[in-house]
Amino acid sequence: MYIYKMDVNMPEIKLESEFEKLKKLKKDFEWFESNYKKLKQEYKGEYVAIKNGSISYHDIDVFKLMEKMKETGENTSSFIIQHISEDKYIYAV
Amino acid sequence: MRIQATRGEGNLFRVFTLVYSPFIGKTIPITFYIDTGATMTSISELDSILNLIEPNNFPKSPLLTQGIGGIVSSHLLYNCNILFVSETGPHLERMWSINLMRNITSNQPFTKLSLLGLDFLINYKIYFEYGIMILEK
Repeated sequence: MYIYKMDVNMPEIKLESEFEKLKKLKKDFEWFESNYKKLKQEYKGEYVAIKNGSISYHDIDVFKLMEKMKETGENTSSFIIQHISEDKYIYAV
Repeated sequence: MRIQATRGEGNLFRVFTLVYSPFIGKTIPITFYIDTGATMTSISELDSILNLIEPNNFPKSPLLTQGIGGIVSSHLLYNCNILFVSETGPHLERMWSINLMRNITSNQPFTKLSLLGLDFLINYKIYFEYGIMILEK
């Protein structure tokens, strides 16, 4: 078991379980990317919340989406939440 | 130790992470876009909203953040750890602070991309390998 100790008086995070969480989220993100074209047909312009390779919530307004998730007692940090753009972008950052 | 950054929105390279700070008391998932043009590692306003963080509750930086889309205010999340999936397993990186971006006016569109900036990247060797960006140290 990996335990990463923070500074004195700070809580510990359990690295092993957090790493498992991160790998699950990464998998959901990869699912989102590989299904993007299909999802765009149905959810264009919307925010989608993904867990275990499926869309659990969606809404055009991010605050409404968060409200829906809050109402059902969901922990938002266990979802991948992505916006499906109506347009294609290139970025200049 | 090598971290792979793969292509995401707008074909930009990005990495999946969990960020922890004792000041938020939980780990939050953040996808950081690699940005050698960003001075500081920053969390977008959208990512703050999605993780129920209000940047105004954190100390305000004396510096504003100038982006392509305009100027936003900066708040500082101190004592951060960023957890990465490296090629060999978990990798934790400690950062003194991460910038939380916040709109100055309510009619300003909020920032969407969180950025892994020079304060982080300067410690890494960056190169490309068959269409994947590698961060190595």
